[in-house]
Amino acid sequence: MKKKTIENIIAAAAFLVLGVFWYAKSLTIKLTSAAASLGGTPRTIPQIISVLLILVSAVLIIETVICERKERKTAAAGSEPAPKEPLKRFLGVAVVLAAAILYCLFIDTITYLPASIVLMAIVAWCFEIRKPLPLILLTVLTPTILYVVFRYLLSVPLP
Amino acid sequence: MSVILTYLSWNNLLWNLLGVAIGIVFGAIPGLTATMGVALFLPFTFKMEVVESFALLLGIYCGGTYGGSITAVLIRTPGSPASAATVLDGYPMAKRGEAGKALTWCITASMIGGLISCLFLIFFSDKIASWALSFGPSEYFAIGVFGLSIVASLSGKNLKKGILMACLGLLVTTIGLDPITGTVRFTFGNPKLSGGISFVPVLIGVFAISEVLTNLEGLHKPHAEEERISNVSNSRLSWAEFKGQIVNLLRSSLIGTFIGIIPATGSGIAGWISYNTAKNSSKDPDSFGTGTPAGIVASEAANNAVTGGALIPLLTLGIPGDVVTAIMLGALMLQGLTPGPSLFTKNPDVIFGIYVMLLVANIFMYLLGRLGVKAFAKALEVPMNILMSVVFLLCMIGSFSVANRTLDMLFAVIFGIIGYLLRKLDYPMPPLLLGMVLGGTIEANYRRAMIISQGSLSIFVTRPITLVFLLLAVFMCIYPSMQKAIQKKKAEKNHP
Repeated sequence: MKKKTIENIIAAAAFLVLGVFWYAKSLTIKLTSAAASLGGTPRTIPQIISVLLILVSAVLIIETVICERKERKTAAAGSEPAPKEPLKRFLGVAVVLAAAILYCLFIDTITYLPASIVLMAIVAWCFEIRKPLPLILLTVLTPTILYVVFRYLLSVPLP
Repeated sequence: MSVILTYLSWNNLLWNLLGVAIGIVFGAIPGLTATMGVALFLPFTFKMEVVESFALLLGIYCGGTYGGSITAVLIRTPGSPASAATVLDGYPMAKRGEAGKALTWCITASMIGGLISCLFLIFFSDKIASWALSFGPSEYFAIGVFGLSIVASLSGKNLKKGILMACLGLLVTTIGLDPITGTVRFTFGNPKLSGGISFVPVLIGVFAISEVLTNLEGLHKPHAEEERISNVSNSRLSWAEFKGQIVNLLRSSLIGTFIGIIPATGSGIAGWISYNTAKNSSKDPDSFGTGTPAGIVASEAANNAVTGGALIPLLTLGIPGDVVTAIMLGALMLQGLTPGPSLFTKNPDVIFGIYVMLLVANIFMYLLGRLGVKAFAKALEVPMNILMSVVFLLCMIGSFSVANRTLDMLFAVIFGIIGYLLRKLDYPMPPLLLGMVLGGTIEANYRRAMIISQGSLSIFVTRPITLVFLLLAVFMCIYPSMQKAIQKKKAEKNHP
């Protein structure tokens, strides 16, 4: 199977699982006697949406598999496989995401300015800003300017 | 007059001017869009007065819609989908040494289109809102479903994927307290989720963080060489040249306004439809594509006319006309306002403020566009990696500022990952936003309607306005398939 087909099936399957999970979870929602009548219950809409999610994702999985089989039949013999994407491209994304998650978890402890300077440095480095002067200016100035704007101009407290 | 002057405070004017400048920059730079600009700066508006916040957001909207024409003319790359049709005549005109004039046509047409649609907004919204005052829960439910049905148009070729994203958005709205009984749902034992997931971190994650990640991944991809034109002098238009385009300006503005009123169409479609109409109506259709002002005028007048048009269903019925107005719908709700006819009776000051700020935004857009075109051309030279790094930090802080919670930053990152991964598989993002914005309205009004009808579904077919909107919703869902079938038949006829 083509890589894209597998990815499409995985994504649709994820939605299917989400639908099943949400439906199951909706059965645990407490119902008061007032709710259990006329206008539907707190479970009604989540269940309708879950069922729709399950049905559409199932159809999408089936369609994807059928399309893949049709394409395999009509594909020329000896057609070249798609070129492999270098992992290096995704490394930067992974590093930035990891840095962002750690930022969220530790910003309250470390406080905004130091945490943001470190995050900016990592993001800028991943975006290949390597010259020392632009890197330092961007890393220090951006969080500082944002701090001033949010804290003093917009009166939004930062951690 | 004195009423108008009330809204022209220094605060409102400055935020509006800033918004237009930000919007033009966001619109001009490929990879940034007006949608992203509005999403990123929405958190800045929470502490502002409603009219001030809309001064900023409308400024970004108008400026962003126009801004794409700058790169369309100078580097043959539309900064935003709204200006895709502008490339066809804008770049050829610039290549023969008339870049300044091309940009002047862009800004003039954009302003006139925006002002005409604003006039429509002012004169017709009232009437639509008065009619909508008789709506009850069943009508609001039907309108919400109709609004959701535009998923079909927003999903392009991937209707099923669009439906899945809309369902995801709807599911997110079920987290927290039930709107009728207050029962806690889907909080997974975390009391912080009893308030639900705010729409802003999801918006920032899906539209901004995912874009940053996509850019980061694409850092090593080879880019086509840009043929950049930098001389933007000689920008004057003569009265004779302007007079020759008056009919085109008016027609294109009307096309844009009406397209803006129809939910889910947007400025990109308006530009193309208007361009084709102008070409078909022209005495010299062969000149289109060679650098004729008529092509630029048609595209730009229509795409900016969408701004006022899209606000009409938003303010009168609570249905967003496009993705940006869907964000503004969220902005109104975050300010504690319910968009729809009741806004006209309970908060007429907000309505008038929006009218005035939209008018002013178009004027500021013209002034900045005429005076600052060289500066905006320079802004295009800022490296994308610097911009994206700044945008990323802005995303994190913006999400935090919604409710001063680090949990919202985490949601933004999570939805950023979801958006980044699903975009690779052609899952459209706007339906997710639509599901989140309309989910609460749909559920609450459905339950209220059912209570009123004592549990009978007949309320949805016996009330005429409800039935009409539900039928329209069905039509919107099947229309893309009908269109495909008709096009397939035509293709088979032409090539048997």
